[in-house]
Amino acid sequence: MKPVLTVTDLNFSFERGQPVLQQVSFQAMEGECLGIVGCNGAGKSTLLWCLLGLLKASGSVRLFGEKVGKESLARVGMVFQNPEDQLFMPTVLDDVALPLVNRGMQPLRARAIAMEKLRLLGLDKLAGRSAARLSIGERKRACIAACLAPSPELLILDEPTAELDGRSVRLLAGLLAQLDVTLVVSSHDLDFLRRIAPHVLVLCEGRIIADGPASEVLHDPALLRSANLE
Amino acid sequence: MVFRACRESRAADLLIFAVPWILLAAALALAFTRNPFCMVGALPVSFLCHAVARRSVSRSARATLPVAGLALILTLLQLLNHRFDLTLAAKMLGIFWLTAAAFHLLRWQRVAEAIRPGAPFSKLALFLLFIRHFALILAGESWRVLHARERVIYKPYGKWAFRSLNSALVSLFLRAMIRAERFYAAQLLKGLAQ
Repeated sequence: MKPVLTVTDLNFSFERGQPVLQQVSFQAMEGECLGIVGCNGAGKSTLLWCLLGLLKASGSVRLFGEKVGKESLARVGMVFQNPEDQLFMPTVLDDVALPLVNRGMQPLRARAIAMEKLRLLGLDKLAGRSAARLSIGERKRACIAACLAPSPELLILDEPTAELDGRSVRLLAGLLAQLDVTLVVSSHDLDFLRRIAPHVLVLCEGRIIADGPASEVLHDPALLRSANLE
Repeated sequence: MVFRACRESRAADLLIFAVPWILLAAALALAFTRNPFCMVGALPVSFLCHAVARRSVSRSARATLPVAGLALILTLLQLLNHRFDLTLAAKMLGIFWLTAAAFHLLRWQRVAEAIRPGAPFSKLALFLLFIRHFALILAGESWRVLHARERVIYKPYGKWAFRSLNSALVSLFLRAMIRAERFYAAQLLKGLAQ
């Protein structure tokens, strides 16, 4: 298996602030689901922003063996913590079709593919609606559909279960398990990560304090307590 | 010697405290002036103030870009209406530079300390804190929406690039309205909005 994402000695701090990430290093291999677990304020979202180059951090991030750039980012999809950030087109169908049309596909063909993705996520009946009229769970699924449309090789999800009810979390876990892409999922929902991520790393105050199989890491009460997760 | 140093530091302190208020007063004066020479003269001075507050000309210029874009659009709309008047654009830029510089230089801790029952500037301080809070919310929302759009747009001039930018900006206005309503409701519950 090839590494899809390699992070080495990543450090980040906001202007005149405390360090948010310190010496963060890890790898995500092709086809695996890597869970990043940490309590609120541990630095999970900041780490994901740094991976995509949206925040400038020191250290090295390599996507598909290359430096983060336009080419490598074109192969990555990201589902933001707040789905409202990602859905801004007049209809959900347009939101999902946007990356395809922008890459040069005919709008009709792009809309057909977008419809397929929406069907996969059970949103085909809501395709013509504005995102503002969807529930939070539906919006989250619409965001995933929009990210899946251009067939990314790496999908990054930031707190995908935040604000979702139990049924929606189960549906989401089932859906992610079916996907044939490398996944990086940040969450503080341990049950959700136990279901989907065989490999997890624990982030605490900007440092990785554990990196290993979920069966060991997420069943270690002392470790979870030290990371303020229990 | 010690007394002199104290007096100097007190004067410097007073100056640092006064500068943002002078800038805000200048912004208010600029909003109401109709003298074109005043406006033209105020523009470079206000840009300079902003650049000093941001400690970089390039950072100041980058921050100005969205406002300059909006000013340009408004001027073009006026042109479409057979009216060419640069007053609005000039005022927008000048007021933006002055207020942004004032907001950078204001000592917010002191503003917060001014909120006490019966204090003379309590309401003004509260108002400034609300404005600051809302400006930070809007800045955060704009940052996230525009980055989310960048994530799906691979060709900046490709199909739907401008359409998506337009939709993103419209969504930003709608979200700003929703946030403002929620913010107002929260203040109303605290008894602060009357």
